[in-house]
Amino acid sequence: MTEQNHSEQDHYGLIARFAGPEALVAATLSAREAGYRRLEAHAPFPVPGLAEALTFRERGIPLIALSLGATAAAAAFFLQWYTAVIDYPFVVGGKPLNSWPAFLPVTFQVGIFSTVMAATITMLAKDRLPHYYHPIFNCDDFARASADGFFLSVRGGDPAEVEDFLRAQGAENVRELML
Amino acid sequence: MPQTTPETLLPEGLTHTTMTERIAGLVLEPRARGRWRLAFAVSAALALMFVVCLGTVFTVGVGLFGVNIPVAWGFPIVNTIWWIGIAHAGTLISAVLLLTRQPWRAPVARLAEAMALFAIVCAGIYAIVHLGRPQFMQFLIPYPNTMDLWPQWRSPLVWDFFAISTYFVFTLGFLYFSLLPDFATLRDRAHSRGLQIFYGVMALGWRGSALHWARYEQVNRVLAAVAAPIVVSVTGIISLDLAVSLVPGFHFTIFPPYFVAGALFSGFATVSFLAVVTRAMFGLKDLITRRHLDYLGRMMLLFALVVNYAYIQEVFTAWYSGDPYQRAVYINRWTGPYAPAWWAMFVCNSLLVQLLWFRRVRRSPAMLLALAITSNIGMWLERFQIVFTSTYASYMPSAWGLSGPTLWDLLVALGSLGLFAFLLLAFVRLAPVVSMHDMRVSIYRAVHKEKSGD
Repeated sequence: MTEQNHSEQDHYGLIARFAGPEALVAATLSAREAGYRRLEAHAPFPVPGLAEALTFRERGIPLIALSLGATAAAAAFFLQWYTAVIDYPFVVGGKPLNSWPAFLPVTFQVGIFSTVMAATITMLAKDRLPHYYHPIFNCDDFARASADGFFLSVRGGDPAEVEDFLRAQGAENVRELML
Repeated sequence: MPQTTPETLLPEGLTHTTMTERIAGLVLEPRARGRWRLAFAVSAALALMFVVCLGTVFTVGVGLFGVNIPVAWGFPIVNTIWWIGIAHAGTLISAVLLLTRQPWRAPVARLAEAMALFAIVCAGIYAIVHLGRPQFMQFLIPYPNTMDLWPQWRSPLVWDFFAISTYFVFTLGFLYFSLLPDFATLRDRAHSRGLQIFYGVMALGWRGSALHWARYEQVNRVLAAVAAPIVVSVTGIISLDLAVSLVPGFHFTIFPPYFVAGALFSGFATVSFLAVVTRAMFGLKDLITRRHLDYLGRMMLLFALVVNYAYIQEVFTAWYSGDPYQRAVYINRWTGPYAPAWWAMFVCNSLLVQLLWFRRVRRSPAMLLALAITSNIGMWLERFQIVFTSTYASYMPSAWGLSGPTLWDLLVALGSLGLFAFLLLAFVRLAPVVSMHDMRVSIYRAVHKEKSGD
């Protein structure tokens, strides 16, 4: 009894391997229809339609990247204007103190730099990466997810019921995942 | 144009399984290590020489170089421009070809990205060297200091600093980003504990989640969209080092686009060079096909033609300006003491590249390799003659003076080539030389096309 309780506590979910990208998309769609919500699909490349099957609708990353990039560019311009006009006014080559066209290259580069950093860091934060331990790595054939395997993992639920469902969707093999 | 049916971009029967095994095998179970070791040893020795020479130059001073007044910028600026130019095609291939969804991009993109990164490393080091007083490099950074001084924002030297460091961070990030899923593949396939931990740490726990891939593609598009302006701006800004000065031969509005085209020309030449070498070294002749070489050759030809157009415009502007000094610089380039450099450049960049009009030349690895080498020599000579002929004889004949490279110039230049090769050879041992996840997309698309075609 205690042993069974222990294994129930350690139960994370089930993972199933499918034959190919199309089969995985189809299985994901029907799992959503059947009411499963805690799903994660794994593929070795971005399979068209797979994220949409998991109702992925984020548009945030480009917007965040663009707005942070624009803000940083404005800050860079302000820094140049402030240092050249207010803090250290110094006439060079008879140019006006606020010689704004000459400030644009640095403004542009800082904007680009920040856009890139913002996009990348936002992605990592949303993905919750780095994330070195995950129960699915306990699955013995999950190594194929980075080569030629297409997986769907279902978290929680009654293992027997979920397994029947996954098998009915044409899963090639189904494994239990432990925490 | 009548075409004999060209081979497909993907070999017949290549699946996700076999492709992953082959490419990951190049890293995890390397063969033909003898040649790699020899090349690595030679390049490591040259890289070490680079470090020693630069150490000497930094200790003794730039007086070791052949720079003088009037030629205050000698080899260091020539090599900075040359290396940064080589980097540009890497960014262009990985980004612009991604946005335009060119199907031939996948097998050469990784090479191009790595080449770009290591070329920027060389360019960045040379940029520090060309400052002359590298111990004051931090003056380029705006930071609150005890002298209450700020950088001179109107100086292209400060723009250079921002441009090159942005470009370096961008390229490093872009390369790592593209490597991330491939590191996961290597982590899952490595046998030794050490490699598993190394690739595991590098892969950040990537598990191929569909949502992660979706965000990955979004970020990839952002990076690619940002890459195009970077390509144009970095060399453009570096060309302003020359163009904003009033020196005849430097002072042209055409310089930024002219330098960008030259950068892309030499960059595509270097990608072609590396593609030919890699496909022979790693037995990738079916992945990097002659058709890929054909496309690379076309890109080389395209940018060579733009460069030649710029040469014509430059000469025309000098003549049309009516300015005797501007005109004299050009006459001097053809007949003066540096004339051999100009004519050698003309042969490399204007005459020899015309061979690329022929399909058989573009598809021949040996010919493409030879033309890649001559094009890079030509582009180096172009920067050499711009920097040297413009400054050695500008206005007052009393201030004229020839300048030539010293042994240190040559050793540092050779050493930078060694450093580039060293980094690239180390890279191909540690990371897959072909982007596996991009290849998987190509294979998926090819299979999909076949299915929908039926």
